[in-house]
Amino acid sequence: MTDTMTDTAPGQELLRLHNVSQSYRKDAGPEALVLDGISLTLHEGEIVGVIGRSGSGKSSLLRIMGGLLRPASGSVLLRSSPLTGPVPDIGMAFQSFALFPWLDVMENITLPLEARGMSRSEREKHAEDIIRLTGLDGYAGAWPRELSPGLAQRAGLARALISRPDILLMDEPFAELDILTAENLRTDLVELWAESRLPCRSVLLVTHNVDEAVLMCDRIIVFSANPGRVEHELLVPFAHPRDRETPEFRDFVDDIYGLMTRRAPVISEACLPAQTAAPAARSLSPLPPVPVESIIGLIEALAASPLDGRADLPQLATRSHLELDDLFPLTEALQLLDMAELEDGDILLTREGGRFAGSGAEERRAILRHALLRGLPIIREIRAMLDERPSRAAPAETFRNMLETDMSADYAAQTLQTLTDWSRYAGLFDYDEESDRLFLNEEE
Amino acid sequence: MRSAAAIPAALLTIFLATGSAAAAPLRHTGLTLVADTGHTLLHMLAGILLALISTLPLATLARRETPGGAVLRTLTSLCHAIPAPGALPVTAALLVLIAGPLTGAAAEFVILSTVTACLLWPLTRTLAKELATVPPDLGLVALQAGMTPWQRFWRLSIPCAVPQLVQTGVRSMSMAWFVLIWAEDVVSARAENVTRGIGGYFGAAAAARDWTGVGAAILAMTIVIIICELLVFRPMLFWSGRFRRRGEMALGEPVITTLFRSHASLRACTGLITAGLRGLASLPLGPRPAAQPADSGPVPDESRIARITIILAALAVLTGMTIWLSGTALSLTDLLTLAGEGCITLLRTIVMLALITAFWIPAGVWIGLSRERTTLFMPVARMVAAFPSNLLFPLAALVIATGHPHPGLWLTPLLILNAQWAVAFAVIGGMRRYPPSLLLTARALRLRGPLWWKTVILPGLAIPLSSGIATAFTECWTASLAAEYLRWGDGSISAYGLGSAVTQASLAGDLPHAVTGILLMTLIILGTDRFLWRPLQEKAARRFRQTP
Repeated sequence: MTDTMTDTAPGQELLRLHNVSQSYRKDAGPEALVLDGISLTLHEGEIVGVIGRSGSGKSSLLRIMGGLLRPASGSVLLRSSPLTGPVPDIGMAFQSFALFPWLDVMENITLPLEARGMSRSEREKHAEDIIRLTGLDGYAGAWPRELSPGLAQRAGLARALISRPDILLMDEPFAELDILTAENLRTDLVELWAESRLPCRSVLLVTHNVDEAVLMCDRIIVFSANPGRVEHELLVPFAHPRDRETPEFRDFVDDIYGLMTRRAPVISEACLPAQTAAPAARSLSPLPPVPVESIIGLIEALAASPLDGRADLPQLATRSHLELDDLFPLTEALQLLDMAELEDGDILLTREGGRFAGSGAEERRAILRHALLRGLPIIREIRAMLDERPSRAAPAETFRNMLETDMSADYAAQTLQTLTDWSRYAGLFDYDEESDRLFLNEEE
Repeated sequence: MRSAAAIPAALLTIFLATGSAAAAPLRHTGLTLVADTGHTLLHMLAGILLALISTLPLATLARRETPGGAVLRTLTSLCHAIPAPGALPVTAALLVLIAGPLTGAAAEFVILSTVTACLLWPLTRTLAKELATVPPDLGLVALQAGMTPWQRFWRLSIPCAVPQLVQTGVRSMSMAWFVLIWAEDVVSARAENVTRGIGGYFGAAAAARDWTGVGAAILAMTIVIIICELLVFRPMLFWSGRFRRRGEMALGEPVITTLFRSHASLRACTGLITAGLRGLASLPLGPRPAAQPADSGPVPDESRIARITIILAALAVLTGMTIWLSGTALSLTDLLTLAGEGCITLLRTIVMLALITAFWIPAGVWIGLSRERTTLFMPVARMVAAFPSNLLFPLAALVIATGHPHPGLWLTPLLILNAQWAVAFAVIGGMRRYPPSLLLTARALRLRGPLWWKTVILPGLAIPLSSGIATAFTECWTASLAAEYLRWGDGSISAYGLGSAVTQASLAGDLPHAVTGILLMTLIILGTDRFLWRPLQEKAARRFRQTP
C-alpha cells in the first residue's frame, strides 16, 4: 500500500471516532441504543470496510462520520478538530444513488460546488476530470431516469468525489446493482485506488457482503447487531489486485463468517478494548421477517446432496444467492427452532431438522408446532392468553404492547408478524387482519 | 423547465399591461364581452398567483412540529371544508363595515379572495404533505453538499412537491372557475364600479332574459378554457413530469413547449429566466447545515381533543363575529329551519351522487380499460370538467319556464354537473393503475358478468372510488350555493334547500342567516368526512390495497 501514497506520509490519522454512542427514543417506549461505544480511526491511504448485519447501526455510523448526525455521546475528530457538520473534505455515496431526478448528470455531480456559489463554467471545468475518471464521458447531459443503475452509481460516486475530499464514505454502494455491474464497478474503483488516481486519501465502505469487503479493503471492522458494537477488527493481508478464487482468500472469508456466527464475542488479533460483556439477557430478542417457506427451503437445501446436512456458510450464501442480511436471520431462525446449529462458519442440520426434511406436509406442521412451543415461550404465552378468553380471540395490539417492554414498537410489530406467520403454518393460532385480532382455531 | 418558466412570466406581462384597463369602469352592455373575458382571465391568474404565493409560507409553517404548526394544520383542514363561495358574504360584509359601500377595489378584493380561497387550501394541504415526504436520501445529499435552508427549500423540497402541486392545481380548476363565475355574478349585481368579468356579463344577460347574451358568455368561457388548457395547464402538466421521481409521463409534448424549445430567440429568453430563477434559488441564504441530533422518532399526531377544541373555537369566533357584525342572533326556529333545509340538500346530494356513480362506474371502466380510449377522452374531459357549469344553469330555467314547475326536481341535477368529474376521473385513473396481470388472469379464468364486477373491478376501484366520491360530495355542496337559487329575468327560481337559503340570505345582506348556513354546511362536510368518508377510505385501504 505504501507505494501508492507518494505525496504524503502514509498512515496519518484523518478521522477519529472516540467512544461514540447513538440512541433513538420512540415516542413512549424506552430509548433504543443503536451504537454503543464505537471507537475507530481512519488513516490516510487505507480502505476500511465495516461489515455487520442489519440492526448494527451502520447507516447511523456513516451519518455520524459524514457530519450529518450528532452522536448522543462521544467525539468525532477530523484531523484532530471536532466535526460539527458536513464539510467538503468528506464525500458520501449512497446505496440508492440519490440523484436528483430533475437535474441532469452534470448538474447532479456539480451540486455541491453550486451550493457553495461556484460559477457554472468553473463547476464544469472541475467536473471534467471526475467525469472521465468515473467513466461517465458522454453522459453529462443525460437525465438520471435514462441511466442504468451502474451509471447512476458512477454519477453518485462522481458527486461524492467532486470536492476532492480527504475521505470517501460509501453506504452499500453496490447493493442495488446486478452481480456483473457491481463487480465491474468494484474492480474499476480498486484499480483507480491502487493507481492513486482516485481523488481521495481514504475510503470507508459499509457493506453486508463479506466477499466484497475482503476484495476491496485493507482493514475490516466487524460490527455486532442490536446495539452496534465493534466486535472484531482484521487486517487484510493481500495486495491489490486480489483473486477471489485463491484458497487464502476463501479461508479469510470463511474466518470472517466464523467470527460473525460465533455466539460469544471473541477478541481477534487486532485487539480492541475488551468487549467481553455479553448483551443483557432478554426475554425475547426481535424476530426478523423470515417467512416459513424460506425456512423450509433452507432445511431442504441443507438436507439434500451435495450438502447432506452440513454446509459452509459462505458457500451456502453463494449457492442460494443470499446476502448476509438474508442468510443470518434464516440461520438464526433455524437455531431458535433447534433445527440447525452453527459451528465455525458451518451450519449443521440437527436430528430434528433432518426429520423435518424427510417428512410430509402434515408431519412437518406437527414438528414445527412442537419446535415453536419449545423454542419460543412467547407463543405458549399467547396461546394461554387466547385460551383464557371466552371468545378465544384478543386484539393483536395487546401482544404488541407486551413485546414492546423488550423492544421498540417497530420491532415489536415485525416480531409479532413473524410469530403469526410461523404459527399460522403450524396451526397454533390465526390472525384476522381486518379486526387486527389474534384468535385460536376452534377445530384443533 | 425553460418553456414553462416563460409562461408565468408572459402572463405576468399581460397582467401588468392590462392592469390599467382593468381599473377603468366598464358598465355598458354591448360589445364589452371581450373586455369582460379579459377580466375573468385576469381574476383567475391573479387568484392563482395569490394562492401560490400564500401557500408557500402557510405550508412551511403548517409542516412544523410545533403547537403553532398543529393549529395551522387543523385550521387548514377546517378552511378546506368551508365551501369557497361561503366566505364571500363574510368578506363582503367585513369590507362594507370597514370601507363603506362595496365598490371598485373592495369588490375586486372580494372576488379575488373567493377564488384564491378555492385554490389555497387544497394547494396548502398538498404542499404540506409533500414537504413532509421529501425522500430522506436526497435530503442527506443536500445536507452533505452543504446546502443552506433556503437552497434546500427551493432546490429540493419545492421540486419534489411540483408534480403533486400541479396535479392538485389542475384538479381544483373546475371548482375555481365555477366559484369565480359565481362570485363575479353575485358581486357585480350588488356593487358599483367593478370589473364584472364573464360572470357579471352572464348575470346581466340572465336578468334581461337575453339568450344571445347567455350564449355569448358560454362561448367566451369555452374559448378561455381552451386557451388555458393549451397555454397553461397542459404545458404545466408536461413540465411537472420532469420532477416526478417515478412513473411514466402520460402526456406527449404540448405544442407550446415545442415552440419555445425550437425557436432560438424564445429559447434564449426562457434560458435567461431559468438561469435567473435558478440563481435566486441557489442564493446561500441561511446557515450552512450542522450535524443534527438524532431525531426523536415521529412526533405523535396532535390529539383528537386538541383538534376538536380548535375547530370549535374557530366556529365560535366566526359565530361571535357574525353576531357582532349584524347585532342579532338567530332564533331557535331559524336554526331548525336551516337544519331542515340542510337535510333536504343532503338528500339531494346523496341521490345525485348515487346516480352519477352508477353511471360513471361502467362508463369509466369502459374508457379506462383501453389506453386509446383514455388518451382520446381525458384531454376533452379535462376541458369539459373545467367548464363552470353555472353558465349552463339557464337551461334548467328554460325547462322550468316551459311548464315543468318543479324547481326542486329540475335544479337538482345542476348540483352534480361539475362534481361528477371527480368520480369519473377516479374510476378512469383507477382503471389505468389497475394491475394488468390481474385483468389478464380474470380473462384467462373467464370471469364474466356480475362475478367479474364483484371480484375483479369493484374491489380494485374501492380506493380511488371512495376518495373520488368524497371529493364530489364536497363539491356538490359548493355547487348547491349556485344551483339551488337561480336569478332569471327580474325574478328567481329557487329550490328548498340550504344552498338556496344561504345564497338568498347573502344577496339580501342577511349575514346571520348566511354565516350560520355556511357553518352548518361546513359541519355537515366535516362530519361526513370524519364519520363516513374517512372510515370508508381507511377500510378500503386496509382491505383492498394491492401490496402489503
